[in-house]
Amino acid sequence: MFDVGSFRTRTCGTHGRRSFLRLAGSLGLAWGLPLSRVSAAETKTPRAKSVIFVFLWGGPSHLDTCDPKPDAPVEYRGPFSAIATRSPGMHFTELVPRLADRSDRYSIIRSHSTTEPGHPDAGTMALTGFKEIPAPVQPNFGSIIARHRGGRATLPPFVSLARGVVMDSGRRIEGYGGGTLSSAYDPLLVGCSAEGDVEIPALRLLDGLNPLRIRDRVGLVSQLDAVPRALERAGFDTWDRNFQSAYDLLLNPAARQAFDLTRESDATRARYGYTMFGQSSLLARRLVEAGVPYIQLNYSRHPEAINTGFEFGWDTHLYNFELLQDQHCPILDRAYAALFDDLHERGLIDQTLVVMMGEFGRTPRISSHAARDHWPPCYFSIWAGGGVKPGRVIGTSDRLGEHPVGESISPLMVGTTIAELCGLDTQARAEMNVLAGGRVIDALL
Amino acid sequence: MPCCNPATIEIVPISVGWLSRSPGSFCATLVALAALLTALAAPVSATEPVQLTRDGRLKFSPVVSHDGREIVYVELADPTIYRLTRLNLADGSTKPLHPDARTSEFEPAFSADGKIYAYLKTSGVLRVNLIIQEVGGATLGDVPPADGFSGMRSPAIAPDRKHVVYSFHDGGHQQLFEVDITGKARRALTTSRGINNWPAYSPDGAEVVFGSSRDGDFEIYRMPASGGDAQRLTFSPGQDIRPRFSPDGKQIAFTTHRDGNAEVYVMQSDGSSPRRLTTSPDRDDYPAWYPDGKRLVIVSEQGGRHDLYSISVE
Repeated sequence: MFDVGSFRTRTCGTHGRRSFLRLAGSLGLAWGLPLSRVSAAETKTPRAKSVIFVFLWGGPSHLDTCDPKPDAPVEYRGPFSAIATRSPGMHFTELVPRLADRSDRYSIIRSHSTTEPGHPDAGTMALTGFKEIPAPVQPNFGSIIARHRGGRATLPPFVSLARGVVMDSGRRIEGYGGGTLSSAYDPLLVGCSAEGDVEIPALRLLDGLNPLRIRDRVGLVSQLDAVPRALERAGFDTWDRNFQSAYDLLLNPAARQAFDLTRESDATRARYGYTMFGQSSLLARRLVEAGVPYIQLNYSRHPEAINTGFEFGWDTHLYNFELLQDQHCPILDRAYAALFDDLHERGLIDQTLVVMMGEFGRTPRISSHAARDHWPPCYFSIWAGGGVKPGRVIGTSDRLGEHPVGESISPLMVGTTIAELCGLDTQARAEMNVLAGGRVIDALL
Repeated sequence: MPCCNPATIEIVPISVGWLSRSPGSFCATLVALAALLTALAAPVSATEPVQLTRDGRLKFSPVVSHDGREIVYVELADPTIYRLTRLNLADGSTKPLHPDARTSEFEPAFSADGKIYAYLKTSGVLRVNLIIQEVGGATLGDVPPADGFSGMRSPAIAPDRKHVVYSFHDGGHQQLFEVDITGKARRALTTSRGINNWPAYSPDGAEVVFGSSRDGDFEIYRMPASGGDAQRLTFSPGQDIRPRFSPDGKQIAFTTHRDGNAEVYVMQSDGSSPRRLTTSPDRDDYPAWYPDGKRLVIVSEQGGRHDLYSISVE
């Protein structure tokens, strides 16, 4: 393992923990690329300097979280009570009380719809705005922002927080990265454990290297020379191009600090919760502070709710009600509220767009297995900061939560709105040849 | 720490454990001796609540052994697996209940005499089996769900060790079912709408207490162990879940959200005199009785960490 520094964690427990920033090999990382592609049209001042895209992979049940239907028949409404929010007339379920208590500071869309019923396709659709097939796969929203911004010299412009590329069982979600913009705009993959240990899995290729023991750049080069074949085998053809940036990330103290959660107080870390998602949310905030333009904060790498070898995602074909009440909602509610409050208190929320959503909803009618299955026609998202007007309820679902009433809002509109808030207007998007046909969700602005 | 009424507890002596255990290392012995010396040097009583674990990992479903010497609970051992873990109350050491387990195992339940236990085990993609086995011995029953994307929930073993009750889906609802100790002869105990879950036997085995959404949100009910009319015990808004009879059968501990977040309460077994035991702004959940009937072990979220605590009910 390629450990770049070790940090004594200050915890409220009786014993300390050690936290390591683990780095190994760079993928097609876009930071450090020249900004020459940025056109005059793209240079307009963005309302959102950074984006945190909270991806609830697997598809959370809208009826059991943020779009309850307490008057629906028992076959639909589920066992959870509706509670008031700070927005008049709007209710959530009792599973997300902290979210409910902050509803006046964000806006919610309840009329999303997607065309894709399965995870891989719906995942790509949610992350790119387009279907995975036919090829070519379009770029992730983050890749678009990465190309637009370029990023600081020592930090990548697009970071995806998970234990690797988002997958559905053994299959990679093609919309995870650069798509038509090239792998140079793939995200830097960063994992974060429940204890706050940060790891960059791709760099495991450089096993045995330790930059802290390297006295000069030549020394690092000589060590890296020992692994080019491994890099080639892994298909990292952009390594050479991004070598300088990778070097900077590895050895630049400021860059390393962005990944070091031990610099946070015990109180702050506790506020987010010592869960993988909680500490990843805190890491996302640190990356915003460090100037990373786009962070995809994945609740899990895999969607499966309970399956050996996979994290517990939101795909609750089984144990929907139990997993939501026992695990997912308490973790999400705590971490999201902490992230939201933290961004507010640090004065970052106005320049940080936070979008939270899954790839689809779940069946309003409870399944024969007393759970809920995939439901593409209707789901929700939450939008905060970065130029979004708070306190709005945009769109509505019908009596049973089966379909939007009136016009639905597509994943392409989500990406287009994110791009618009990040300073890519219609002309800039056209010049980049991305998000074709997309419309901005004007009701958010 | 979960806030609750100060009380006293016994210092649990180190003794032969509840489950068969492998020989400890020299270091483990030293740790145990140190714990014993610390206990002996301390006052005879300690103020509740008592923190029992300190790793902070997500935890669920603790149960106290029949002799009060161990707790078995579920922890998120890594991001992908639930593991059954044993906590030795004498020295605070933990170890996996099944060291060779490679799939998620959760929701343990033990018979009143500690001889048999049941738990759930993932057996495939979104598929969970009910396992019934002797402590340190043979598997008595391995019950797969009837179809894919399904699994049992919340097993409990009858005091006479003749039956296991659990929750399972049925036509869009979730009912309580009873099987014999080998997992056969399945029989439905409930036929209501909604979700029925978290069954627990009364000490005499005559009744089962459980949670159900049959009337809207989750409330607590009791009924004859053989099924039949259920008596509703709670009437609060929000979830009332995970009921457990006290060892003498006179009280029921449960988790409720009536105060805005998960708190642990006790009430008389007829539903009267509900009394709040925890007041933390964070989550207090999964109450399980000690054999003395004076304390509960709970999972409490404190400072963003999930640990086991012992609290008094007096």
